[in-house]
Amino acid sequence: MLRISGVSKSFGAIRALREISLNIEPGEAVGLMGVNGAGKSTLLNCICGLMKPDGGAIELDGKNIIGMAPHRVSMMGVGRTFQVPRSFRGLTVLENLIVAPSREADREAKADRAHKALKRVKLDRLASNYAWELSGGQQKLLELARLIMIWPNVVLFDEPFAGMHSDLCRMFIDELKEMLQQRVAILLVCHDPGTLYRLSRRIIVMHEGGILAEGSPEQIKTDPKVVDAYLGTAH
Amino acid sequence: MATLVPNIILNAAILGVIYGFLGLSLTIVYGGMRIANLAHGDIVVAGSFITYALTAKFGYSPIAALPVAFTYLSVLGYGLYRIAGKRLQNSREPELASFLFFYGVSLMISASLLFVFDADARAISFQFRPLSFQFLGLRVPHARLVAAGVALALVPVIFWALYQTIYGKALRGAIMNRDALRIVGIDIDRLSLFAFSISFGLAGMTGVLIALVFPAFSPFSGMDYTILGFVVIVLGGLGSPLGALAGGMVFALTEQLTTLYLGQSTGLIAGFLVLVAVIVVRPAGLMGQVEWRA
Repeated sequence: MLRISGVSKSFGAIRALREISLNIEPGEAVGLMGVNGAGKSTLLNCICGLMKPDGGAIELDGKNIIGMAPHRVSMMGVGRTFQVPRSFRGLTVLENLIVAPSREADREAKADRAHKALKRVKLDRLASNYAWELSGGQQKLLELARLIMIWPNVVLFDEPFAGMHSDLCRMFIDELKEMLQQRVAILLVCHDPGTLYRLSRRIIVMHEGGILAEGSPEQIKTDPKVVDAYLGTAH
Repeated sequence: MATLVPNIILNAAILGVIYGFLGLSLTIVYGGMRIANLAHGDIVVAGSFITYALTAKFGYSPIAALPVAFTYLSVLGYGLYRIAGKRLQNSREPELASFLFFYGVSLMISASLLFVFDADARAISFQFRPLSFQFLGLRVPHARLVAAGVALALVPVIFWALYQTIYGKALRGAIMNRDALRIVGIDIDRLSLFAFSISFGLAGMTGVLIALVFPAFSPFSGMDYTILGFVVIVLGGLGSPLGALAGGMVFALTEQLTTLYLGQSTGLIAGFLVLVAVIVVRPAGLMGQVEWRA
């Protein structure tokens, strides 16, 4: 489904991504971990079109999406969230969802779908509230509901659980599992190794723009390179 | 004196609506696209000269200039965006790049107006009958009432478009977070092209209203209106359409009442002092916090 091969990106003399290659299949959650500055968010930005890589290929269902505008990548079914939620603060919770193009032909069907998406993340009671009235955790749920609206095939989550209340985290994880059951491919960036080990069968560890290690949670936990560079101590 | 203050307040309110209209047309582009359109005032003046040409040369009513100014200047906006808008937005410093680009556009527009209409200040010769209306001891020139009526009729349409349509919501979304808009599937380039055309068209209509309200305009008046537009949107809150109207009203009332009590030369000073005070007390502007709360 999503194939990344040899992707590189530099900012001046800093090489943010070095020949990154990875694949994600439908219904698979791949965990991406690494210290700050390892290149995780840059990789996500390159996939969703917010940044253009200097080289390499990013293919979605066999089609190269490098250089494609972010809205076109989104229309192909790639959705993402941000570490700091990027909602439209001056729009209502419902408007945050219906502002995006959708497959629904008429306004009523679109509004109905938006209400259902809000219900799934338990924000339906707040549909008429402005987005700036939501807590940080609720804003992340709003991003999740916005993702549901675009019928994604691939979802890129950037630190979805950071600063989130445990109850909201559980709800988020349930939705993530539901997406996996619907054969959505997920790339999950998370600082907390424990959460990644629970949610992903395959983990990729990034370090200084490159891939340091790749494998199952068990392999990653005991990889000496990872322990040395990232974990500090064996888990 | 008993009717002077209400008269001044009424006339200030009319000016406030027009200042707000000026700010509204500017904030669509500056708030949403971070393009500092330094030629905005010159586009307004171009609208005034279109009114002048239609009334003086062809004998049309100034109202007929509204669709003409909107159409011509929207096309100019469309063309300019096609030429430079995308590049300006994608540059590392979009505000600085657009500032310089539109300074050049400003010079070109004012030079073109100078070439066609000469340097003399102009006024529209068309007179509404009766010249003024009197009610409850208040006296309002007919032309000012028409200008305010047009602005008050257009503002709800603009607000309906901004607050009720998907395009309008997306445009306001662009003011709040461009990246988020792009990743939910909205073609920001197309949206910007639309916004740019509308902004230029509305600036042209503002020029028609200004030709009705102010005694004269010249090819050199553009920068005054650009500065006024920026003052109004900073006062009201960058990126807030409601704030632009509020900013226009506060500025006009301050300017007119100060002129009444302290003399002509103090009006603008007081207006700018209010701007400084608002920036110190509420850096986000009068209405900025409503839409920008961090």
